[in-house]
Amino acid sequence: MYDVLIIGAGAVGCAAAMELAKFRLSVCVVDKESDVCEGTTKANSAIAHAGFDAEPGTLKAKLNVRGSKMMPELAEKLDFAYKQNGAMVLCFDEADKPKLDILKDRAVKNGVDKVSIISGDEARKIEPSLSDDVCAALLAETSAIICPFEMTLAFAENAYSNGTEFKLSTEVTGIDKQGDIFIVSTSGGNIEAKVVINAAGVYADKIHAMVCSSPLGITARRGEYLLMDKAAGNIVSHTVFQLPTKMGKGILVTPTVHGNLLAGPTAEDINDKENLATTKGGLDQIKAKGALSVKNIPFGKVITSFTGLRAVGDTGDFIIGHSDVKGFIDAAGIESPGLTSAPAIGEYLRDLTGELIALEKKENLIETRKGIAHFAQLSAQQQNELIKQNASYGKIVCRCETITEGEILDAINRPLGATTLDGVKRRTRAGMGRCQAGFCSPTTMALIADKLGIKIEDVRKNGIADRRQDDE
Amino acid sequence: MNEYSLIIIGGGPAGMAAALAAKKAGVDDLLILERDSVLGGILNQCIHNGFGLHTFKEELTGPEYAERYADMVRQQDIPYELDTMVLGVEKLAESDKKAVTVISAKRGVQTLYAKAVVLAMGCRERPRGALNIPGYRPQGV
Repeated sequence: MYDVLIIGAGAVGCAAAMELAKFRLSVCVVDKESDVCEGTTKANSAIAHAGFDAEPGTLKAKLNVRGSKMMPELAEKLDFAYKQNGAMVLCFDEADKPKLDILKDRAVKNGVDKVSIISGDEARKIEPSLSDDVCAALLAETSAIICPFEMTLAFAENAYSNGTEFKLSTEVTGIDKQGDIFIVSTSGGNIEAKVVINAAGVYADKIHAMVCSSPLGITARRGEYLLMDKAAGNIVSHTVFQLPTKMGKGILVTPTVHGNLLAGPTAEDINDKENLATTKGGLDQIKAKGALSVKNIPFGKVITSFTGLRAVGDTGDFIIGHSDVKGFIDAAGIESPGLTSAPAIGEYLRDLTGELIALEKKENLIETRKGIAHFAQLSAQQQNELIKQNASYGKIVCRCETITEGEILDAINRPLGATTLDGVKRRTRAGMGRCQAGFCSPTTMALIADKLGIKIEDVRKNGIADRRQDDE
Repeated sequence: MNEYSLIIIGGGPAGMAAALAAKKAGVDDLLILERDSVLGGILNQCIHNGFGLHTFKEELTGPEYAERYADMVRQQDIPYELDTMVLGVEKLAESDKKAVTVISAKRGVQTLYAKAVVLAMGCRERPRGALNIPGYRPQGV
């Protein structure tokens, strides 16, 4: 029996786990996938939004701004990539300028600092590649770029080191409440808990309906992206948004925290919550709309395209709170700015849990987490020290990103370690470069097979062998 | 020893042939750097036959052809280092020398110097993603 069971090991579930791990509670996180960070968290714009976009008074506004302000210290303590690069919202039509004022007004009401409106020329002075059609822009200096994988892994690893259990590859199939206790049936047997937190992303509606009678609707909104090589990463330094135009919702162009260039997302509501396909129409739309903001985006340098699904709730706001069943808490409809809000949502879920069970502070809490060494970013002297301690850091496995065998072994061996190629990729970036894992896959697979004691043919890109067999 | 007359980057057919020619021309202090754990480069994946008809007057597979060259490199005592990746090449301002920064488990991160550098690294294929073909990303393809 656990005090708290969290369903979903994405950014929100792991943030809640990290917050709850600060107290003397038994907490378990379940996820149907074989790793944390396998759903919406893994495919998005990777932005820590400043918080000028959300309607004042909404949970989105409150939690976005709080999350944005928490992020720098968290990144420092938990060792994940974060860079405050600032953002611009571009206006292309004099007639639309009042819309920038509305955003600035929202920023003030939401408590976002360092937001100003600048002219088109001033915008181009800061970002010379911006289109000549830009007539004004909102500048938000506190907007940042982050690594969503590393952030979520950091939350999870910190929770784990403070005693949280993780049951991965475990799909929730039913929830029954008997007295004050939830009996949660899963593919790995029954789990009992006093409090259940629903952080199941696009499936939060399904999990909610297993025990609640109140309606809760989640629509999957598909967003396609194009990721470009690091050679294109310097075209802009700010995250560049567009005001919504007659042509629809805007496409952003941004450097990533690792130095690539990212353009997207499209926005298309779909019924199939497993549909991660990219489409010709979607990719063409990114190119056409991206070109409105930034001149000469080198789309010839695309190294991969991908699709993410946002979990869009039916209320327009995040759906976070006690449900109609006592002890069952929803954290649903976490679309943008969900990634930014995640740490604040974690705190909020902690407080909601505290309304149900007593929270007593844990002693000897581990407050920090050390990430995997990013070998390529170290000085030659630091690199040599590392190689002297452990020769596996002298062996480059991923040539594009200069990722060493030592980093990959750390990714596999550490708590909540990688068991799949994608798991290694998200932890180390091995396979995220120009050749997209063409050269490092066999070596990485051999390392996984060796460390996990499995046959190389049983090493998966993601998921677990049994569940995916019918895909082939 | 970190100074060479010639450093050849890449231990594939071009790199090995360049090393043999340089040796024949009298360059003794040379070094081949290869990031794979065997010599041969791209030939190791060219498992079809048809190699060697001109040079060896017989029909060989890619790996067999590579092995002939590797044998010659060893016979000529040409030094080579495997599992060694070049991280950067730079022309020094103050001299004609070139600085080649390498990494290997044996050397760590080290800078070698050469009067001449031969680039024989082959080419890189563009991945499927670069072609932007829409659809699902099938596993393992």
